[in-house]
Amino acid sequence: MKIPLLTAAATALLLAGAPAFAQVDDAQIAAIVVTANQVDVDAGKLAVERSRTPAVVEFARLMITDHTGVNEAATALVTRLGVTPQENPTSASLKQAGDENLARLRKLEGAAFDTAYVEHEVAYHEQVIAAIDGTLIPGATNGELKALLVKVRPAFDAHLAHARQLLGSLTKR
Amino acid sequence: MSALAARRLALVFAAAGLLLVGVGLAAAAAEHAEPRRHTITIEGNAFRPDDLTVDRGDTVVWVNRDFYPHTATDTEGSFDSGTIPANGSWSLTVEASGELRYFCTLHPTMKATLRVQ
Repeated sequence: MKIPLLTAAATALLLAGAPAFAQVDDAQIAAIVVTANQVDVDAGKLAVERSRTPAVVEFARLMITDHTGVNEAATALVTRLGVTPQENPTSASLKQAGDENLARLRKLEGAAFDTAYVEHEVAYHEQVIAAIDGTLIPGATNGELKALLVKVRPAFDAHLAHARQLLGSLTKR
Repeated sequence: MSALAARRLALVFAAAGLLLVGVGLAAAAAEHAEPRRHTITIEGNAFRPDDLTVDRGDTVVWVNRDFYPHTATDTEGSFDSGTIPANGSWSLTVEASGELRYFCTLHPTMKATLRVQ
């Protein structure tokens, strides 16, 4: 548990806007949004494949559907705006943390898998909400991109509440 | 004008006034009886408005403006939209009066009330 949490903490620092990454432009925000959503879609796909717990599978399916939907909308918007997503330290860190999470989860099964997946979902959504509030919404200069971020933020809140409730039910088993 | 003529004139005006009020009330009643169409927008993981009062026979349309699916599902089971896709909508003509509390089965933090009178 310690290594992923450290990774999560490092990502949180990056997302929360450590000085070097405090300023992000719209092209970088686009890359962060797409990566953040894709990372959770990928984790969800693994959970659907591996978990045998209906509530976990249902949650994972919701993550796939919602984050795919957000990514399609974000991609359509930045394409229309002529913004090319630009990789940056925050998006790279998200990708790396996502890959590490998948690698760790692939070694787990059963209840250990469920708990590790959902614990990471709690940490991930906390980080992304902090990034949306602290970095992405304040940094977005295009009004439509800012509006999209504002519009999707409540979904992350709902996912976080759902993940916490699910984690509570798993730890009671 | 004599006092009598003046009183008769006043009566005529009063009667005409009553008639107008009556016509107005009838028109209002007729308008009220016409089923209306209400829209509830789903956006930012919320039902807007989250508390709506309608009359029996009215139609309520839920329009999903989010980028992912939602449902509008009565907690007591009297109605269930099923999945409303992104940019999709679902309508319900309400037949029974009462206070209907509903939520999104996919995002249970989304709750709202429909009052049917």
